[in-house]
Amino acid sequence: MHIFFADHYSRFWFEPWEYRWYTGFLTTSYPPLVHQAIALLSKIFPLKVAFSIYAITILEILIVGVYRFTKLFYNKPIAGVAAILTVVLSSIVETLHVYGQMPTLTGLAFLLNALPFLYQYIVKKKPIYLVMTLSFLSVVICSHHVTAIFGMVFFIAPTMFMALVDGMQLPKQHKNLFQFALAIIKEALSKYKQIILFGGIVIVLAIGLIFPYWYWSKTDPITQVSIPHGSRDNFLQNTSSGLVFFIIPLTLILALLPAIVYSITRQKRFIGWAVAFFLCLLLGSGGTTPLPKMLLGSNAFNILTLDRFGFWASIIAIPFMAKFIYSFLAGPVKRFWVQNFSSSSHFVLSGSTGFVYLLFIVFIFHLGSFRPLQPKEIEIQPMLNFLNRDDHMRWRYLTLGFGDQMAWLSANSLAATVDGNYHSARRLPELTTRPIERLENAKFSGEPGLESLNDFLTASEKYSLKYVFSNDRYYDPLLYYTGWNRTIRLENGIMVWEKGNISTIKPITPKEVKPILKKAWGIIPVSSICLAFILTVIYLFRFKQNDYSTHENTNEPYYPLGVIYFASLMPLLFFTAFMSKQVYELLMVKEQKDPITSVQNYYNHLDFQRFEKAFHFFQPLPTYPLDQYLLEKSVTDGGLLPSYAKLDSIYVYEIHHTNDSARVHVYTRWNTALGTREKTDTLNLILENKKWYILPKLFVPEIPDEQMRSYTYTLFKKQGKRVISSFPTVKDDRVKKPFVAYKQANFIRDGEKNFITGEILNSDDVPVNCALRVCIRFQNDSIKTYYPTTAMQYNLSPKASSFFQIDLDSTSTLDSLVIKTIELYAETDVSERGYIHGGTPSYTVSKTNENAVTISAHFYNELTTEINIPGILIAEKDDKGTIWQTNLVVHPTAVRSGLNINFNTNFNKISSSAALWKELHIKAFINGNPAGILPTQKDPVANKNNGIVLLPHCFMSQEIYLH
Amino acid sequence: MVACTHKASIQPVWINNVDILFMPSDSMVFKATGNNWEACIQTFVQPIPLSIKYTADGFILTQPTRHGAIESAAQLILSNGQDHFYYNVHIINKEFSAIQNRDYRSPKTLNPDYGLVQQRLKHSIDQWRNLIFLPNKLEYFFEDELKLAPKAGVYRIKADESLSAYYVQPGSCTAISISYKFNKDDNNYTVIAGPLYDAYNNMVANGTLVAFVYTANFKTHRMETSLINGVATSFIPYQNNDIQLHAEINNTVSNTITLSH
Repeated sequence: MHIFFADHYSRFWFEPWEYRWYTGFLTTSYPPLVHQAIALLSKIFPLKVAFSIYAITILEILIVGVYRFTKLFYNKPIAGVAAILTVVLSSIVETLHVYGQMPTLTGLAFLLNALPFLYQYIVKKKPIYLVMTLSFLSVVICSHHVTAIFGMVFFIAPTMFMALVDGMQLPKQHKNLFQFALAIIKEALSKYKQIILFGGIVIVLAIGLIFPYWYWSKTDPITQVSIPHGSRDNFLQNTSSGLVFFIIPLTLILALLPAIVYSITRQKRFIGWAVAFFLCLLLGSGGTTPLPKMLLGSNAFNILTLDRFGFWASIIAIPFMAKFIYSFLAGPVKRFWVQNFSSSSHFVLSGSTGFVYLLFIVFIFHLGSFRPLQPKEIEIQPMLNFLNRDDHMRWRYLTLGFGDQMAWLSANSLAATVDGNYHSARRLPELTTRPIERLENAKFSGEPGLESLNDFLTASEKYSLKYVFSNDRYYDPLLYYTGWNRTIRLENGIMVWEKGNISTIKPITPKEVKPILKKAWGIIPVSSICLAFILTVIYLFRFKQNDYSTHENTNEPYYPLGVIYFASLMPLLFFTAFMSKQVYELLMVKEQKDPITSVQNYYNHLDFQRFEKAFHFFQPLPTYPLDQYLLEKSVTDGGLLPSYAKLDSIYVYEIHHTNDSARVHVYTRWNTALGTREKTDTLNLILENKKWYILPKLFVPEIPDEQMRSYTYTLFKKQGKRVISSFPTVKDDRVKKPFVAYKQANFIRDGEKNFITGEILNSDDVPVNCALRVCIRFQNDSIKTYYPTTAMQYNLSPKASSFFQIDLDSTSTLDSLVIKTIELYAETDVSERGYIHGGTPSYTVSKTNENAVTISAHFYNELTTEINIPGILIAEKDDKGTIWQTNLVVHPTAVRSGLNINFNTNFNKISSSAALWKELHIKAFINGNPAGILPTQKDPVANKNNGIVLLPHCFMSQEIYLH
Repeated sequence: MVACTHKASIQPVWINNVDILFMPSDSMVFKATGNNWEACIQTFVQPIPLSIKYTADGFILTQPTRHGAIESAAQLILSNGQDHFYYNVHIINKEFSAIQNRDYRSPKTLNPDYGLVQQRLKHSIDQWRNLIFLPNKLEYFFEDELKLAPKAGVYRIKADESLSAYYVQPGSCTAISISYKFNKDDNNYTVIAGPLYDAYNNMVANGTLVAFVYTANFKTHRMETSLINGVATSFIPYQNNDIQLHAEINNTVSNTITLSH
């Protein structure tokens, strides 16, 4: 995301409107300094290199900051240890190397550098320190607003408190807390001018420096459903979140907690830091306790990512950790160990602790390999080439299964996507009304995610969304059944899906930002860092003093014995245990210790397509080798559940258990792009060599009679007559808009549900891609547009027709708005694929009660290709032929060429309970021209089958030229 | 300071001034001072560069590319640093040749089901894309409507120009004839629909969807196939009972036949 923003400033420095994400948003929604600095570097280096150079620079500044910050507490040697600790502290390593949160680190680096100046300003009252403090805080404000806001509470306030304590003229150690508090208040009052001056200027700077940001947040407030984040989880319940957001960043802090607590509570000057540290630690614990939510309020709790508090706690703890580490390596704690246990024991302890910690840091570096957080790297050049040619940039695109790489693709292209990677800037209702992070990883957001994706895929015309780059076949069924066609598989393996009849991007008026604010946004933040640099140089040459802390460090001779033992041994034990657990989970976990564990792990491997590992859960038999397993699997593969589903939950129930055998029921729930599916299996297991193995089921392969199969496909190629030219296609080159006709269109009201049903005919001699939409105009002159979802065949062979159903709003909504007119629009285009819907369905319909029937369908695949998702489009017709409803039903497993499948489905009829609204005339249009609706004809096939008629509607994944 | 010291140029005087400039242009003689002049003719679509040859009391402009142009009002622009001088002219080509007669048809694709009337628009242009009078007519454009013959095919307005093609498609079939035979070896029926023709005796288009709907064992089956060369063939697996079958193309339905052997 930060690289994308940097790319924006690199291209459009003074223009805050960024059109490439979310149909446009303002970059004033994020403080710009970091992005602008990377943008400047990118004028010399490639973007990623520029980002790396910037990161290295900031890390250097952060190290200096930590050194200077620690000197407020302790002496230079301890500050030196703190500086080294910065490089290997797990929270910083994770923030830098795993998340790449440059604004957070930039803000922190300059904040820590500002604190010593602030301290000296309060103590020594010299204006130069105020100037330096403000200049560094300006950089913080321009880099990261959250650090600036919370930094005031967790860093500025404790620093001022410490400065007040150190600056007191009276004897510093008041035994009585009340007297101490009184003395502090008196001290603060004696310096009220300084404090007010500082506070006043900081407020002015905070508002003034990034005024466009505040203006944006005031005029365009964030009103969106909270997006779930692991840092708000209960870490005891969701241990993986606890590991990533609490344990890993705070491991060293937790291991050294007694030493930190002892040091931070030893001196009254640290009271502010102690409060800040414990508060941050508490808030960083997320939803483990209700306290963070109570402290922050539910609104802030649901917006903020709470891991940042843990991060700040780790920063506050650095001086105290450094003090103990220094003491352990060269101070009183070392002497204690040497005197009591010999120097060699101290050497072994320190060496082994250091070694295990090093392993731990290496583990964090490679966290992405052990626990993949992102898809594998995708070569973006083929997608850039695709977007650049044939005017593809005139439409929006969407990526699926790209992870954060979607931002990298955006940064390298001028093409626009409906998705984006900066949640606060989202304003599209399809995104803001659901707790979904990004469309590209919708499957990880469960049902709301897929609903949101479904909205974009069906209402793609609304956003001129024409291309989908898919890196995850999980979404294939949804794409196909919402009218998308595969166009090409790029060299990098990415499948490009395309939707026909999509208008090019319509101009959107950018949100108005006054020119003066644009200029301010482009100039002031960068000026702040330039000014800070110049002032630093001046300060170093003219004002710098060797020691800025007036406090005389009192080094206590020893930590208490308990603290010494605990803090010396805990890191070794903690990191050894942690790494051992990781190794155990990777290599030594007993996956087959009992029947239930064995079955659960088998399904887990199956879900992640680790078939060889899954095979090893079967009883080792000479008659059942891996080849046989894979062969049997290959002939049952390919359906919605085996190939396009993700295991959501599993429940294994033992129905029979002896010493060496077991029989279990397995209830599984699968998430698919077409909704959730449930399945029940029964497995037999046997105990051999202390491992529970699944007994392979007897496999009876279904084999068609024929050895070879032939089928005649009629394929079409849209040639056009395009001249080889870089100019846009001229009118002469275009293939004409094919003819279609409405066979019927009806407005049906079934209780609270409303929909338009009908049938559309391809009356042309070429295959057609048809896009339907219903526009309803209301009495208040508002217009709402509705699109069909899965209940329609979008591509039709010549003279083929399809039923359709377009769902409308609820009855209460429509009635409250009062419908004025209903318009049905069809746009057509010549289609090259997707018009072969496959298979021969046959069916009987039996009545189960007055309004319900059971459809017993039989599906025969006469094609030469496997039908991956056999489906039928069911229409309910009355005796006059009027269509009352249309529904898509799919079968969970594939049907191979020449074979059959059976499936029964229950269908609730509505023709006796729903109403056909004839009062509202539906105005029909085809390709923009008014069109008539043909008279409805009786359907003898439907009348013979209890009013049910169906069409095949199948997905075939293998032959791209068919679909 | 710089603005204050700028010395304005004196407007050159066009000695052989004309209102109509024939292209390729003759020499244009100007009386002027200085030798830092630039010149071009700006039409409504393009600039035409001119070359300058300085003389003792001015300069002469010539057109280095001896081309014609799109005829229009234009401006001769003389520039000397920040000073620009404009002379209105009208560009006319001295001669034209390579006349192209254009013939546009709309719609380019016709289907007898919807009508065979085609609009024709004719005009002629010269090699510089200027409109010229149509042959034997004192007008630039000619428009009329043609009633095309209902014979399906690809036609060209110009025999050697594929871009000029227009298309007459076959219409919908009017009747479906079906026949079948039993294949003892494969134990199935071959059902053939066709050959199918439209109302004008054109063979129905390839790819047209033909649905064979049949009832056997109380089940309704729907087998879809596409038409090739006017014929659709399907293989129906043998059933123990007789099969009642008909073929459908849109609303055109064949007779129902009974498959048995």
